Amino acid sequence: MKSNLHHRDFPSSKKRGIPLLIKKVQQELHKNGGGYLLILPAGLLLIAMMFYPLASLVKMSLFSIEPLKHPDPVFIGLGNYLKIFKDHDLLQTLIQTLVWTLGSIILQFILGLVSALILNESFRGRGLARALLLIPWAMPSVAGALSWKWLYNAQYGLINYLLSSLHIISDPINWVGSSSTAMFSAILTNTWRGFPFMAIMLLAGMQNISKDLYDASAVDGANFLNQLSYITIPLLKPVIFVVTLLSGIWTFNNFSYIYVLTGGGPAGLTEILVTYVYKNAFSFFHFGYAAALSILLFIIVLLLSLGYIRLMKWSEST
Amino acid sequence: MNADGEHMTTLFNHRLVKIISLVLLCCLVLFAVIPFLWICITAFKTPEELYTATPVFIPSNPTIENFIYVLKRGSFGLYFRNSIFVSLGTTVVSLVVSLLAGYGFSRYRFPLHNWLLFGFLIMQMVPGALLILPLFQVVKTLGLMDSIWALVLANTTFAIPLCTWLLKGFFDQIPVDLEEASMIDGCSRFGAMWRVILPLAVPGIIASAIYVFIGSWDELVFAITFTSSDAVRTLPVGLSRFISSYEIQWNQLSAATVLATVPVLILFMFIQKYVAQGLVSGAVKG
Repeated sequence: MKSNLHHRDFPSSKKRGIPLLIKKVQQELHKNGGGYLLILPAGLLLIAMMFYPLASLVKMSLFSIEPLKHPDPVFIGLGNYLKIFKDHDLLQTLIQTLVWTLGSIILQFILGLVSALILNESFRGRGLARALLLIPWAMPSVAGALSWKWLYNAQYGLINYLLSSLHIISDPINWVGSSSTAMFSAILTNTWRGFPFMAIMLLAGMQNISKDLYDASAVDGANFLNQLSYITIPLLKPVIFVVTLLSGIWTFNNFSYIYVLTGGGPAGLTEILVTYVYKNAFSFFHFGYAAALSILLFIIVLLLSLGYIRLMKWSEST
Repeated sequence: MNADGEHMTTLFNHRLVKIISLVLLCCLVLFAVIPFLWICITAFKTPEELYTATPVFIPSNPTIENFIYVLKRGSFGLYFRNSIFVSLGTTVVSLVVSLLAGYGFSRYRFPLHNWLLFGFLIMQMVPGALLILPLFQVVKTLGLMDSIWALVLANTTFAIPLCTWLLKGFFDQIPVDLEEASMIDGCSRFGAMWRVILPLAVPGIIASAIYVFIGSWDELVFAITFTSSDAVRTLPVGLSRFISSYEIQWNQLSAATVLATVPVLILFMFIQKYVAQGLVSGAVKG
């Protein structure tokens, strides 16, 4: 409407070309330019603390920066990236990162969904159960990881005691220290930390679903599983998408749990990309290589997330 | 919410299924609670009851010795204060900055709008731990090394993307008519935002605040890297340094863990109901 009026006022405007364009931009800025001002503080912070560091990370990745070998950075082009393909530990780390992330999300989602489905019904003690479920999420990561380290303790840990008094195991298991159980232990801890968040988010999503839908389907003879697969899950899709994406990114980028719980051990078997990069930088001082790895990691997160968003959009439209 | 006492789905129609469900929920709650419960019990144990073949479930003479030891020894009180300062500072700064940005994205359609919004979202995926190296340089250049403000600044930056996104979602739900009406009544745009829109966005603001507070209370990597002296150390760093010191015992470590957890737990009890509400409606409808 407004632009129509505008054209009627200036019938010759088409001839003016570029000046008009400038004028239009000016008008546009006058009307909407305040938006720039509003996002400016956030934008500046992001540029200074994220975008600029990212850019200098790219630059670093093109240099060999080894303070232990030579004092000054040496330009080596894509040398660090080529090194990535020869890094045998990296492949193992990538696989472990995948196991860690997928394992955690799947377990978190299953436990979260089960909790939410039950909490969505009414029964006595529901509020208490919901409040107690939040404890793992409220605990600081380091504190949570420490608590589990104590539970996992090979000699005095509660888990070994319970399992052996139930005669499930005969010898104490060194949960975080032995190669066969370390990753499982880390995933279990991360599941503990993450499932309450899923549960609470899914529950909130479920409570937005109209009760009429359930009532109507019940009249038609739908049992619980019918309702779950035809009403609850389809309507929850957007929430499921958001929580799994967030939780996936958090898990992929998680540092504290692995750092405190296993330190990446035993023999690098719980090393994930983030801890691996950190170790390359601050334990081995391969700064240039660590920078190249960081870029690789960022690209992986980005592609996976974008792919996931695509997939979700696609599944919503079909 | 189905507060009328009737059941939502047909899950509870069969008695057996209902019982199984509730038992299952009990197991899940136990799973959630036991690690913290056990660390609480351990924190009150004397050294004699700490390392026993059969764990002591209820300490026979509970002691607060461990808490006293922790508070005296590791300048724990100081860490505590630092953590509170960092978390509160981060929360306030992030909220102010994200409120402006969220409002800007919600109400203005400026050139490159969608690209900038997308850029904000991508920043959510940047792992903080990986930017440590170049950030180290930035912090040094700003002269903020070993300063608590470095942590506030870094935490704020990494909180902005999700916060802005959440708050934009909330603003989107508030009809534009409301502020237009108040602007006709003589309010400035800022006045309209301050008096009309902000009060309506309170649930979203609280949800974002919780997210930021917990995130920065939790933050370890920046704190380890940017601070080196005791005077500016935060709780997670203090805790993780406790682990690596040899003479520390598990009952003392437990006491430290409990002390680091309790403030957030108390906070959670008060604002529990906002957590999910805010996140879901902000994130999904936004």
